[in-house]
Amino acid sequence: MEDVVAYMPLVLEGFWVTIFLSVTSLGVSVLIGIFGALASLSGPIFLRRVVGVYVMLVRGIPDLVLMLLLFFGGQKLLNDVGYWLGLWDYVDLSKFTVGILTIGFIFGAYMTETFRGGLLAIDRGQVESARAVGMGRVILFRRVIWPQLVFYSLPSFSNNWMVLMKTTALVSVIGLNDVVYNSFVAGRAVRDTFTFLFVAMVFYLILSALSDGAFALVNRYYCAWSTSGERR
Amino acid sequence: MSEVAEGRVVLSVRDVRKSFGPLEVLRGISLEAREHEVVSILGSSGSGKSTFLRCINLLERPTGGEIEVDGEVIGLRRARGGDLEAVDSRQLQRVRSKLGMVFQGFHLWSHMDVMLNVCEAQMRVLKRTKSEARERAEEELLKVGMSDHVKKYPGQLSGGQQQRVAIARALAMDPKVMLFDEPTSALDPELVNEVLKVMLSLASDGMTMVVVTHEIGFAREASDRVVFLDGGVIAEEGCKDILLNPQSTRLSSFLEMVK
Repeated sequence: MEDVVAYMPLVLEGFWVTIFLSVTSLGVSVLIGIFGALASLSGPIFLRRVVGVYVMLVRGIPDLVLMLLLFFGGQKLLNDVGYWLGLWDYVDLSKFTVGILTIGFIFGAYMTETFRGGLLAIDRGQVESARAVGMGRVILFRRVIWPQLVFYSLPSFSNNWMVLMKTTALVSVIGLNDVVYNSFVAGRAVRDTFTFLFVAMVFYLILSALSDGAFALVNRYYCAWSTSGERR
Repeated sequence: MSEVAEGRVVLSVRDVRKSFGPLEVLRGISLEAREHEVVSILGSSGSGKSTFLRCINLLERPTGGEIEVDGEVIGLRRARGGDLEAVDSRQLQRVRSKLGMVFQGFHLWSHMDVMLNVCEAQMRVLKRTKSEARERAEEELLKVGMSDHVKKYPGQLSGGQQQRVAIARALAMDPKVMLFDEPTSALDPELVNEVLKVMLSLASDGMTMVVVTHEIGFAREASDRVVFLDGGVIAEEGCKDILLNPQSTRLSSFLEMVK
């Protein structure tokens, strides 16, 4: 028990890394997802194809393989491109950046599908009636599309978030000090890996419990209309 | 209602054409509506009557023609696909806000309650304050008999109730002309009358209305003028007496079928 207390700061440090990594890569994936969904629904044919291939590739390749490929290959690819184009010199991407970008890239594909489904679920007629009363694009998006997009995307979005959070554990294989990596280090130091992995597990459980609570709040705000009776 | 209005022209549509690819759905249709006038548009399905109505507020891009609302001509230019689009989106929004549209499928915003459905565009488009909008909404909801349902969401209402809210939503914008696109076609038979009743009272209040409908009864009772579309052109047009005494064979066979 003293060991656990003694190594707690290290584990906690990893905990913060996990949270930071999760939140930032969520941001990246949401940006990619919104762009991808809009592009695949109303972009030019070329962009639709690109998005289609991207989604297919990412969903078809194991996360771990992609992570290793992008981590070891991405850096070189970036620098080769810079060299050929003569636009930039050697760029050193930190493990952290690569981790965020990789996870964001992977989950961007899932988010693309999530938001695409959400947009498709919105009744075209309601968009039309908004245009008919004279709403401009911005108000139309903010007041009619967005609230319904959130509503239709939320279940799949929260699912993605839970999986994303757990996927961050993969960064430990490229040597990032997340909660799994640090717990493992601590566990080996005191020859008690089991206890420390148990601690890591509890952290993940706390995190998902908190997320559940947050989603319940968002759900209550955006989905009031659907719970108060039959929808549409 | 029946005395032919001599008011000024508030809606003037000239030579509207619309093609979907090689298919020419509207082949030059012109229509005028004067203040307080009720114009019914009849026609069999596929005659282009809904498309025509949707061209008036540019929910559908016409391939040709000119549209003037309340003395303002919508500036149009040719878009890449060959159809016409509005030059100035602000002008289009302003013109649209003067045209109240009621759809076959109601299209209330399902995440907003009845009150907000009626207030939303007043506040966002006409920039009315919340209290102004509420006051106006209450007035219109009373008119359509929906005052007791302000806190409900569209999903909790029957089709007829939704359509009446949709009418209130359009009326609250103080439109110059109301456009009805088959407002009772999606309703269960027992709910049709509650909507028709609201429309009849609007007509007798002097609202200018253009109504695409299958309800010959409504057309006969409320219209000042009847337009019969067939094959993308106006096949016959006149006062409502043409419904009793059609001049063209096409209208008489249509009336025979819907009888």
